[in-house]
Order: sequence, then C-alpha cells, then structure tokens
Amino acid sequence: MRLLIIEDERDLLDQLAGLLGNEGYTVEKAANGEDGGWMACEFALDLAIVDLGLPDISGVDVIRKLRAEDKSYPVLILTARDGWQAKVEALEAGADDYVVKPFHEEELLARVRALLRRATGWASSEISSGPFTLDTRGRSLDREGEAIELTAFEYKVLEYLLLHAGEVISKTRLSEHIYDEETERDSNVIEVFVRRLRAKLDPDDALHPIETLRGQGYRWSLPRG
Amino acid sequence: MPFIPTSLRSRLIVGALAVLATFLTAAGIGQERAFRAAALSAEQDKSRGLVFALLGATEPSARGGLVIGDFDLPDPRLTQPESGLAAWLLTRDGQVVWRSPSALHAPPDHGLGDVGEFRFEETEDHFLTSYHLRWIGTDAEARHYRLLVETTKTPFREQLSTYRRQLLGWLLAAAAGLLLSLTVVLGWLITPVRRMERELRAVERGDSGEISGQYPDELQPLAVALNAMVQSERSQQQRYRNALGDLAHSLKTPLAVLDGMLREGTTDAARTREQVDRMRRITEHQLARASHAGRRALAEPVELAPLIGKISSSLSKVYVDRGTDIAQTIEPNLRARADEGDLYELFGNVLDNACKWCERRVRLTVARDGSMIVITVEDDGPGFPEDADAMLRRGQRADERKPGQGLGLASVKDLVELYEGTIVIDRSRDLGGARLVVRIRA
Repeated sequence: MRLLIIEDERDLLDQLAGLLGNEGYTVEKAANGEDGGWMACEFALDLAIVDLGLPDISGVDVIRKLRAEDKSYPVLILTARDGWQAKVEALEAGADDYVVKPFHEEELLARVRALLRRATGWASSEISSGPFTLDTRGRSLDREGEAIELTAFEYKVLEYLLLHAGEVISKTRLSEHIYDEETERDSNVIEVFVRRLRAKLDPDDALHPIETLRGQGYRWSLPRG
Repeated sequence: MPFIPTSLRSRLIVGALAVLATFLTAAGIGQERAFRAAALSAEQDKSRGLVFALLGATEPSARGGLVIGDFDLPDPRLTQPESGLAAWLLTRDGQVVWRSPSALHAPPDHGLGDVGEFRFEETEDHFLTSYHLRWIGTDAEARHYRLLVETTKTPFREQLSTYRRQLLGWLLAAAAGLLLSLTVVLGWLITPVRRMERELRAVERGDSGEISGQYPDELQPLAVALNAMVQSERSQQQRYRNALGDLAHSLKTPLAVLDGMLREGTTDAARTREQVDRMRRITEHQLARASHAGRRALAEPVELAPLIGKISSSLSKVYVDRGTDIAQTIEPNLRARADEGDLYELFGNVLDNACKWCERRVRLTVARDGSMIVITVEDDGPGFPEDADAMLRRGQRADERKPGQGLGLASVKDLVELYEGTIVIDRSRDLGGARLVVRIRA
C-alpha cells in the first residue's frame, strides 16, 4: 500500500512518514502543493493525506486536480480545529474523510486503515478469505487460528493481493504500490516474494490461493468472506 | 486631466453650476426671442398705421391719378431728410408717383402683393412695408398703386440691446442668488455628516466610546450600524484578550507539573502524555473560542438550507461505513444573520457529534422563532450521559473512544453565547437517543 503525504510543516511531515512507514506502508512525501499535486496525479497510489493549509496551492485545489485526473484512491484531509468551512469544501471537492489537527496517532492510523479497506470493498479491519484471516490493524495473518509469520515485504505483497481479491494484479502494478519512487524496481524480486508466500500459505499445495495468469499477473483466487 | 470632485460639497456645487448654466442660457435665449418677436410685431403695427395715415392723405391728381400732398403728412419725420422714415407712392410698373421729402434715394426693391394686402419685409438695416391699392379715378379707369414705407431699424436695435443687457443682468443676479442660497443650504445639510466624521475620528483616537447624538433620519441607521461595528470590533478584541489571558493562565498548571517532573527527574511517559494532552486541549479550545466572529449588526444573511445540505452531504461521506441517514427539516428560505464561518462551525459540530453517536439515524430540524433560530438535533444513539452539563464545559470528553466529543460541543457552547442563545440537552422522544436544542439570535 503506497501513500502520499502532502504537508508543509516539515516536522509533522517527517513524523507522519515515520509513523506510516512503521506501519508497513510505502510513503511518498511532498512539502508543498505544487510537488504534491504532481505526485498525486503521476504516482500509483492507494491513498493521499492532504493538509488543507498549504502555502502555495490550497489542499482543496490539489484534491480537485487529482479527482479531475480520474484518480479514485481515497483522500484524507488534515484540518485545523475551527475549519468546518474548509473541511466541507474539501469533502465536496472529493476528499473522503478528515482528521483534525492536532490528532492522536491511533486516530489517524484508524482512519487510514478504514479508508483503504473501504476503497477495496472490505467492511472490517479483519479480512478473511478461505481459511486465511488478515488482521490489518495488527498486521498479522493466520490460517484457521494458526499464526503464519511474514516478513514486512511479504506482508505488503499479501495485503495488496488480498485487499484486491479477485482482481488480476500485474507485477508492475504490484511493485508500484509496494516500493517508493526512490527504490529500484525489479519484478524478479516480486516473483521471489510470491513464491515464498505460496510456500508459507499453502505448504501442501492444495488451496492455490495465489494464481499466476501468464503474461498478466497474479490473482487472489479464494472467495472473500 | 478632467476635474473629478471628491467631496459631497464640490460635487453639489459643480452639479448646481452645470444645471444653472444650462437653464439660465436656455431661459435667456427664450426670453430674448420672445421679446424680439413682440418688438417686431409692434414695429409692423406702427408701419401699418403709417400706411393707413398716408392713405388718408391721398388725393386725386389732375391727370386722374393719385398724389399725396406734402403739407398734409401724418409724421413729421417724413419731411426731414435722413430722418430714418421714408415713403413712396409707386405705380404697378415701379414709377415713382410721389415721394416723401425725406426720401432722397430711389425706392428699394420690394415685391407686390395682392390688392388690399400688406407686405412686410426686414432687410439688413430697414423694415419695408407696402400696401397694394387699386384706385378707380374720375375717368373710371382702375389704376394700381403701391404705397411703400421704409423705416430704419436703429431704434429697434437699440431697444433690443438694452433689453439684452437688462436680461443678462437679471439672470446673473438670479444665478448668484441661487448659488449663494445653495451654499447656505449645503452647509446646513452637511453639518451632521461633518459631525459624524468628527465623532468617528474621536472614536478612532479613543477619546469617545461611540457615536452619540441625534442624526437626521437618513444618517441615523448609519450611526447605529457604525456603533454596532465599533462594538463588535471591541468585543472581538476583548475575546482575543480574554482567550490569550485564559490561555496563559490555564497553561500554567500543566507547565508547572511538567517542570516539577523534570526537576524530580521523573520520566513517566503516561504522566507526561497526560499533561501534553491537557495543554493541547486547552490550546485548541482557546484558539477556537477566539476565532469565532460573533453576532454582527451588518452580517449578510446566509441561506441555511444550502449550507446545511453541504455539511450533511460531507458528513454522509465521512460516515458512509455506518450508512448514517441524516433527515433534515429546514423551514423554506430560512436565512440567518450570522457569520458564515460561525454557522459552519455550529452546524458542523452539532451534526458531527450526532453522527458520531448515532446508530443509524440523525434528525435535524431548523426553524425561526421570532428573532431566534431554533436548531434541534436528535439521534438514535445512547443519548447524553447523566452529567450532560459537564460535557458542555470546556474541553471535557465524555468518552475517550470517540475523540473530539467534548470539544465540539464546547465550541458550540461558545458560539451560542456569542449569539445570545441557549442550549438544552435532553432525550429524543422519537429516536430514543440524544436531543440537542440550540437557539441563537440571528
């Protein structure tokens, strides 16, 4: 899951990036509306966090711009305490939820998780499919109650595939949503992760939870439930 | 560069000058024309009288024609050369039968009208009057004659120029009189404006608290509105000052606690966090309080239905997971005289609060009751706790699980105080949850 944060206060930006990075999200940072607007339209993102009080381009304009570019990922806005008018304007422009500054970290994380789930059509923070249950809050996976240990990258790949269950996800798309802009992307690495995941999830080779569609990509094949 | 008058006085004077110049010129031209026409008609009458008098002096000649005896002339000027009056009796072909002793030159060209008809003509220097007569003499032969009278225009001109001089004099005097009285009236009119200006400056300097005294009907509302503005400006300042004072005062305690903890060398994260949270709540609350605009005399009326529509559609989006249903009953065309930002805060906070606590349903009713606007928000949630009033106290939270709860309502409470209103908290009879009735003067 790749997130963009547009926030002009450097300290808050770094703090947020650290917080979300620790939670296993891939984070892109923009310190002004100009760069943020560009990234919001050009990068493959799963969610954007936009501060409304940007010095150059207003956060509302950034949201309008990315919605005009047909970007449908959820947008979370950061607003000041007395900012109902700005808040309503931003929500009308296409934002999906808001967090009032200053906020508790848990509150922000809860909203980010909820928006990501909502965008992929899942109702609860516990995602279950077949015998598997993914806890997006605790970032853990179990199979019929038995925990499966995953590395951070394995978790990222699995979360993306599982949240988009039923969809065919190309290797490019998968790597775009897992790596940040600075990291060299290598689709062979993705293949390695998928192979390892298969071995961990389905050691008996009975369920085939992750399908390979030749030339197209991968698909989580078990039903949502 | 064209002259653009900036003061009311110079505007009025320039305007009056333009009007006066136009009207007086038009009046002068009209008067002069009328006088000239009257003088001309008098001149014609005189000439005609002379013609009749000359006709009376005609007598038959020895040859069967007509002559006029030089000793029987009706006007002594006819006997004096260069007197300005001359007469001729001419045949139809223009032969001079008789000329007055004053007529030293040949008769001027002048057409011949029908028998018994006068012809009047104005030339460069003279008036010409002729009369066509047919005379049947003793030989029973009809002869046609023309009696021509030439009058100099000099007296006519003199009369006219005298009149013009007089007219100009009168018009100028009238203009001066009008301007003078206008200036006096203007001075009288402008006095209250000047007075208001002086008083406003006094208020600006701080010498006076408000604009006092009685003003003319047109200015009284302005004076009232200015006073209201001054008042709201002042109360805004007072609020800022109070907020800053309260802020400084209420930050002292947590700061002292933190200070003490540092001195003791305590590094209890939970206790530190508690103090930091407390400071954050205090800051938020005081800043929100200072930023409200409050009731203003000249606030533009804001239509409530579109504003509430925007807020509730935004909130439906935020609470989409719960499928919250916000039912609204807003009196049609309801407008509130309040700051738009304040209204956003008020409706945003009460609706957000209801959406946070409801199961599914929120109901909003807004109606006018005289000078008050009554806002009722109901939900089907658990309702307000027993110590509901405490929730209205600053920054207090009823439930840490739903953040922002207490503060939203504290902000509503501040706004309601600014708008001279009330808040009542109880239980919704229909929905079973909380009911909040807010009344504001707007």
